[in-house]
Amino acid sequence: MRAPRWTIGRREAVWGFVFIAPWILGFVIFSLGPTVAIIAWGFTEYDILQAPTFAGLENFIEIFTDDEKFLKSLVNTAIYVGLLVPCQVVIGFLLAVLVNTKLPLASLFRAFYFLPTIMPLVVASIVWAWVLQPELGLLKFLLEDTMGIPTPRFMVDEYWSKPGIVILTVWSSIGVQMILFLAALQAVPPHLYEAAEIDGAGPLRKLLHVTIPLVSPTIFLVIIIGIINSFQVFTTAFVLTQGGPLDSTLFYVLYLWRKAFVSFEFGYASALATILFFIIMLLTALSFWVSRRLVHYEQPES
Amino acid sequence: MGKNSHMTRRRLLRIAGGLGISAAGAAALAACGEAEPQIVTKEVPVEKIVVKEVPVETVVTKTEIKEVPVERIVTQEKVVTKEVPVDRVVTREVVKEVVKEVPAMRETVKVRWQEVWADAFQPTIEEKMIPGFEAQFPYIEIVNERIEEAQMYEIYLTQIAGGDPPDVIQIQESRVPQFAARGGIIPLDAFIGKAGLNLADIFYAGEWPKGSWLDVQYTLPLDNTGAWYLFWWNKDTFEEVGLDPDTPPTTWTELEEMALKTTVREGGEITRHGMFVPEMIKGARTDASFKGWQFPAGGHMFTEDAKSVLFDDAIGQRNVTWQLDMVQKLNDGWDNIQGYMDAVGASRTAFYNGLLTMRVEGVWFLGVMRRDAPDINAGVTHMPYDDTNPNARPRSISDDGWSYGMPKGAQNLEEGWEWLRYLTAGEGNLAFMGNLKRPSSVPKYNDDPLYQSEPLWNDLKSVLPLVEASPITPVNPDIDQVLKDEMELMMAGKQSPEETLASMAGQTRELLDEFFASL
Amino acid sequence: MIATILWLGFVVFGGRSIGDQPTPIGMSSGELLWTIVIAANWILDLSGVAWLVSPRIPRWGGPRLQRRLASAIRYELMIGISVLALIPIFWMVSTSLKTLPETYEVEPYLLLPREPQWGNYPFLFTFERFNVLQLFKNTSLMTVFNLVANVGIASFVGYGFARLRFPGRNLLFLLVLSSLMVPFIVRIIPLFVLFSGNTYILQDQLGQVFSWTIFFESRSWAQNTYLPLVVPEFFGAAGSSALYIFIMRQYFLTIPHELIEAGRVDGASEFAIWRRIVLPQATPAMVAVAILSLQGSWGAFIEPLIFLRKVDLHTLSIWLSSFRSVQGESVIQWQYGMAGGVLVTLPVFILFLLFQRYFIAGISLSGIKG
Repeated sequence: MRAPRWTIGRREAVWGFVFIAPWILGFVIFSLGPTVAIIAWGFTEYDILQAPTFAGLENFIEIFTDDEKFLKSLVNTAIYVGLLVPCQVVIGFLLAVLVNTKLPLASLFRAFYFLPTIMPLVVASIVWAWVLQPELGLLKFLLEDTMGIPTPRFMVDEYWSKPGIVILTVWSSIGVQMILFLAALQAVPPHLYEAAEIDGAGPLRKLLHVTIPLVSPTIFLVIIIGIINSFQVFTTAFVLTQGGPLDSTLFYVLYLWRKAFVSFEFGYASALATILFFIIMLLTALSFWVSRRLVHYEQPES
Repeated sequence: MGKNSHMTRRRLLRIAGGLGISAAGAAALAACGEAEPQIVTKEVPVEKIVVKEVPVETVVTKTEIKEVPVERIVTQEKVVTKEVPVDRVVTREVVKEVVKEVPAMRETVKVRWQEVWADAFQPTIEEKMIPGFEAQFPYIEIVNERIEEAQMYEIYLTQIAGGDPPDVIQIQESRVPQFAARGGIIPLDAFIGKAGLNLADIFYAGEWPKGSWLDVQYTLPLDNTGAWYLFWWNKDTFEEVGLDPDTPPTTWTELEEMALKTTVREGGEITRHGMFVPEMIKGARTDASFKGWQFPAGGHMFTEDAKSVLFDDAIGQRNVTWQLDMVQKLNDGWDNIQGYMDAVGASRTAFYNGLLTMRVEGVWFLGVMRRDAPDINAGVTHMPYDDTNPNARPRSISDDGWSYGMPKGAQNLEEGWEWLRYLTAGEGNLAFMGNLKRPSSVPKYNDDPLYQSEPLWNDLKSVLPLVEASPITPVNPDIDQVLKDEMELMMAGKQSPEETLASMAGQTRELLDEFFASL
Repeated sequence: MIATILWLGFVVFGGRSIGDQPTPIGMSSGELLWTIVIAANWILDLSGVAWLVSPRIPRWGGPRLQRRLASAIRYELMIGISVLALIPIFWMVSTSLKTLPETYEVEPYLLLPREPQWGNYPFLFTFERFNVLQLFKNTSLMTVFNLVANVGIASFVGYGFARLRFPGRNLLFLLVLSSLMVPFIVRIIPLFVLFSGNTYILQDQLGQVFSWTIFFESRSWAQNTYLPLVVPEFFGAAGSSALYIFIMRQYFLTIPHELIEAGRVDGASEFAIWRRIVLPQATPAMVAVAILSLQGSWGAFIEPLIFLRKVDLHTLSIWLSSFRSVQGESVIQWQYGMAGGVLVTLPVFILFLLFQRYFIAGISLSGIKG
């Protein structure tokens, strides 16, 4: 009844704001304040116990000119993200394809793969600490002591500590990626497969030309979430390595935590958080920009 | 309590502690210089308890009656019963309550108490401590809020920032100056003075000064964590290789000899280690290893005012070089022991399984070991000292431990103080520590029958008076991180011992100077 | 893959003493045999997959044989991978049945307890400090509230971002994701200040609405109420809400455009299109969000730890942590910690088993009909 007065575009825009209204409300009440506060504290000297004093750009200048660990932790984190995110996408996708079947008992296997995800991360970290323990661990027992296969010294070697944490993280999070891909596989209309079969496509070509393009929004989702989350890796390193050996697992947020709650330099930590915020924001925006060409969306060209 | 007398007594006690005069002597010494102005002396019926019928000399040191701002009178009497053998002094506090009349029920005050130890296995809190305290102070209700140790400072700071902190918090003494210098914790001097407590009288000489900063007391100690660095050895392994199981090494030379003797090599690989010299306290704590060996080496960490570095000398150099040397000699390099320095405490596991013969860990290890590996036949003694340094002697450093304080913004100071006092200087301490079989910060409680079932108890107790408090700086956690990182770099072969010490000292100085300049 | 499992079983049950003869290449005969078997098995697996997938390799046998072979390989891979996934879980269960000294035995490695200590499980319920049933109730209640909130809000807001065009949409969506980009450990301080009684203006009004015992204990939101853990979820402003909105948005983007256009042509309101056309299509994504939300709230640790102090208000994950760091210096009672871990994991595992069929049931339903 109000349609005639509005252009279609205007009507759609109003509806759009109606749909996102709850989030806008929540954002203004719960998210905006804390985020602004952290960005503001980045420009102060603040130890939480005393009132903050304005320090201008001091924190940022120190971070960029006189802080080796900032760079070290950023590089560590970037390497970690680079190792982890491709694993999550590829393994998660293959797992989803594997269990996307109606064969009997497949549901049980899906549950098995999701099981590690349910385990509290702290418990999982401790279990894996024992599995990967370089001297007395389960893996060393199974491979080295019984088979004579040399095992990497996961948590104590400078070069193997990050892969160790990646293995733990893949194990304990792969269920999430599997579920996302499973959901996405459901959205692939079967008639497309039928059409491809008529064209004589084998399973591999169906996978490459039908499945992957159609689940590309989810691939994109997994990558973005992977980047955002793994840039903030904290718990695993905190429980397992405390940043060692030789700072090889000193990840960005772990360093930030030390600054905030060990050194009581919360202003400095806020500045670090602000920098991280903009790094992740930039990477996300970049991914969105890149994805325009690579990701297939069901949307009319406009 | 005059500032000067307070200072002299403190210094005196340090010397006394250092010379190894037993707790009894210290208590008697401190009691002699007692002149408390605010004690009202009255004649009241007093109950004396003489614990044993040995020839004793009973000295009633004081009888005090305090007007508690309640409706009751607490009669407190202290009877020091001296036996002839000096090491068996029994001290008892008799608290007798005379409830006069109850004029009007006082409104109940809830004291919020946060600590990290009250796990599921600690029923003492509900069963003994809180009821025991609330019987004394019926108008106080204790609310125990357990928090996670790993996140404790996050939680404290968050609550202080939100203006909603608890009344009493458990806090590590290594963090007290850090909080105190920033006004994050409330000074206790007024309360201590009002209650007429003489800290030197109550606690180990190595314990209570750690809760202070610039001569103001901020926390009172809970445990004797003083002995962070104790030497543990496996007696069975000693016997197996032909060493006397009851004679641990007391010097660095002996340590090296015995460690080599207990090391087993098979086909170029070490299948049993004698000792991991830089491994201390749950592994992964190379910072502790520098500090831990610095004192038996005859050195110091900081000046008394905690403003300058003292470890940058020949002793410090010897300490660092020796540790590296030992790793090469005993363990064939850092690679072989690094795997034990992990988060899950693999070195403990190795010790339980006879894969490691000697190690250094704190007083708590006794209770831990009894629970984890009840069959192990181990001994405990002080750290071996550096016999090449004529000034070195067996001693132990203490720059950390657990204590209770009241955070900035706490609501119920008076009531919180009563609870804090009960937890540290009072019966609550014995109930809590005795249940854990860990030494208390109060010497007299360590003689309690609760502990007597432990065969190693007297060995452990004899080390406690050797413990000296080392000055704690307000940037302690940062310095620890520096020490840990630099030691690790050296062990991994990335820098020489000389560079390591220079770098440690340089960075520590920078941290200290920066902090004191900002005051 | 199967051979790998057989070998693992062989090792676990102590059969490795068989075949200890030395061979020229330095392995014992048993080791050599197993190495060959495992390698052959993997080669067969991979070539089987290659054969099924690649059209270049000639086919033989009828389609029925191919189908059977395909499912055989699928089963083999599924079993093998589940072994990899379950080894740590196996270790966890095995540890939960040991005595404490047994958990420290390493030479030889004690993979199974000498005598299963089933009593470790009932023991968890004997502490007076923790009423485990109350903890289960607290955690479930919080989980259910958050689940409803997340599924509802994410599918609603997600649709707005996916299929409705309005000015500043992309920028606003970046803002949605921005709430994921500030590490929680720093955000917690301003959040706590926000929820602390003294500074929060809405507290009294909203407090009366939510004045159940469990949700509202003290004047301040920040201590001992569930409000800070639940209310932001209803506005899509909690820690992981953005993730769920993102999931729903990406899913809605794959729903055929024609469906929505058809609704618009019929004159249906956008709300009706969302409710009648889009939502029924989105079951798998909604189930995914439900499962993730369930898992997230059930295992949430740091938020409850910061906001809930009283023992009766604790959640299971806090309870679990009390077995881990015990007595300050980490006397770790592994067996109880692991038993607690098993207990906490089990309900979500069962729920997942019930939920997960929605991922597959949809296969024949989705797509455009007619």
